[in-house]
Amino acid sequence: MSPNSLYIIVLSVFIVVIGYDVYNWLRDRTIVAQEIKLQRLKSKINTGVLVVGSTMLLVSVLLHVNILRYSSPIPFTEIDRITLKDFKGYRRPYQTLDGQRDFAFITTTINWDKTDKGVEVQAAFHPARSYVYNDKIVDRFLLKHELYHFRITEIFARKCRQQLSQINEVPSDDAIGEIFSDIVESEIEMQQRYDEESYHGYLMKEQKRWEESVDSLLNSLIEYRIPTVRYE
Amino acid sequence: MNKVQPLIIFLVCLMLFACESRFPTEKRFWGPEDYEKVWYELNYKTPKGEEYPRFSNPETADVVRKLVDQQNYEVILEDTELGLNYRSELAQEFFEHIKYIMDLYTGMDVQDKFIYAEELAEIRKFFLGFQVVYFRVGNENIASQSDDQSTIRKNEQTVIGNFNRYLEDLRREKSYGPYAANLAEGITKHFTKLIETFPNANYTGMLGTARAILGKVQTPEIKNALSELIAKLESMQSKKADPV
Repeated sequence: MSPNSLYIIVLSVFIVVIGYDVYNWLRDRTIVAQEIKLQRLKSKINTGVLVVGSTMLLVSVLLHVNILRYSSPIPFTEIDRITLKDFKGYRRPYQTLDGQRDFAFITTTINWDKTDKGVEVQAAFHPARSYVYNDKIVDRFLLKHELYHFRITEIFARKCRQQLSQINEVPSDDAIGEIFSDIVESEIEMQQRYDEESYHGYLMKEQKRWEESVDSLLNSLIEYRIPTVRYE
Repeated sequence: MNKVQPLIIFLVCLMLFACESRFPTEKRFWGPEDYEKVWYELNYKTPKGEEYPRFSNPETADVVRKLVDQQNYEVILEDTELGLNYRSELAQEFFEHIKYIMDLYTGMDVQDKFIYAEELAEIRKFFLGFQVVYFRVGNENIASQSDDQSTIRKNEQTVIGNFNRYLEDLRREKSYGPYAANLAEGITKHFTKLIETFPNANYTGMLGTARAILGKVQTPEIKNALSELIAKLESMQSKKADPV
C-alpha cells in the first residue's frame, strides 16, 4: 500500500468520524443528545480527535512531501545543477539507515505523458520528497551516490522510450502502463542492489564500479535520451 | 479534553522511549566512530556489576561478533579508491578505540582468571590482524610522502614488538581457562600474515621469544602453533644467512 493510499484512508476515517460534528458546528447547530453532560463530553472528545487528527494528517503529509519548502520536480536533463541543498524533504521520526542518523535519500520517479503525436517519458528528481540529514552539508561523495540513483532511474526511463519507440503508433494507456510496471520493478531491484553492494556509498571501490557500470549503461542507451517518443 | 490528555501523554512517552539501541549492531560495518561509541557505552554507561557483551549471552553476542569482524576495517583500509592519508588517519582512530575496548575486557576475577576470557582471546586475535593492516597502510603512506626508510623500519619493528607481546601473554594461558587454545589461531593466522607483509623486517627477537614461550606453555594447540612459527622463522633466518 502506497503512502498516498494511507493518507486517503486516514482522511476518509477522519471525515466519517467527526465530519458530521464539524458540519453541525459550522452551521451553528447543537448536537442532539439525551443528556447535556454526555453532549459536552462528546463535544470535547470530538475537538480532541479533530486537533490530534489534523496534526497527524499534516505531519504525515509533510513527511511525505514537504509542502512548506516545495520545489517542483527536476528533470534528468538538469541533473548537473542539483546539490544537497535541493534535498528539502523531512526524515520520518526515528528513521535510520542501519541505525545511522547521518544519511540522505533521494526520491526519483519515471513519469509519462501522452499526446496525439507521442509519449513523453521523464525521469524526475523530487526535492520535496528527498532528504539529507544536514541541509548545510557539502559532501560531494554523498551527493554523487544519491545522483547515481537518479542516473539509474534515467537508464530505465530510456529503456521505456526504447520499448515505446518499437511500437508503430501512439500506444494505449494500458500498453504504456504495462511497459512501465515491468520497467519500474526492474528499476527498484537495481536501485536496491546499488545500495546493497556499495553499502550506500560507504564502499568506495564498489561505488566506483557501479558508477562505471551505470555510465556505460546510460551511454549504451544514448539514442533514447530525448524525453519524447514521436509517432508519425 | 480529559480523554485526550492520556492519549497525548502516551504518544509523548512512546516518542521518548523509542530511543536508539546502545550498540550499532544494525550497521553492516563499524567505523572508528562506532568503536568509540561502543567503548563509551561500556566505559561510562555500563553500571558497575553489569556484564559487558559476551558470546554466551544471546542478547549481546551480536555486539561481540560485530566487534571482532575484520571486515569492519578491511572494507576501508584495503579500499584503494580511498586516499592513503585518509586511510592512515582512520586506521589510527581504529587502533586507539579497539585498544581501549580491549583494555576493558582484560578484567580478572579473584582467582586471576579473565572474566571475559573467550571475548578477550577473540579481541586480541582481531587486534593482531588489524595491526598488520594498520602498520602496512601507515608505512605505505610514509613511503608515498618521503624516502624516510628509517621510520618505516622502525614501524616494522614496532608491530613485531606488539606481536611479541602477544607471545609473552601466552604465559598467562591459565587465565584464559578453556579458551587458551583459541589463542593458537592468532599465531597460525596473523603471525604468518605479518611475516608475509613485512618479509624484510628483523624477526630475531620474535624467534627468541617464541622459543622461550614454547617451553612454558601447556596447551597443545599453542605448542603446535609456536613450533610451526619457530620453524618458519628459522627457515627465514637460514635463507637470509645463506641466500643461495
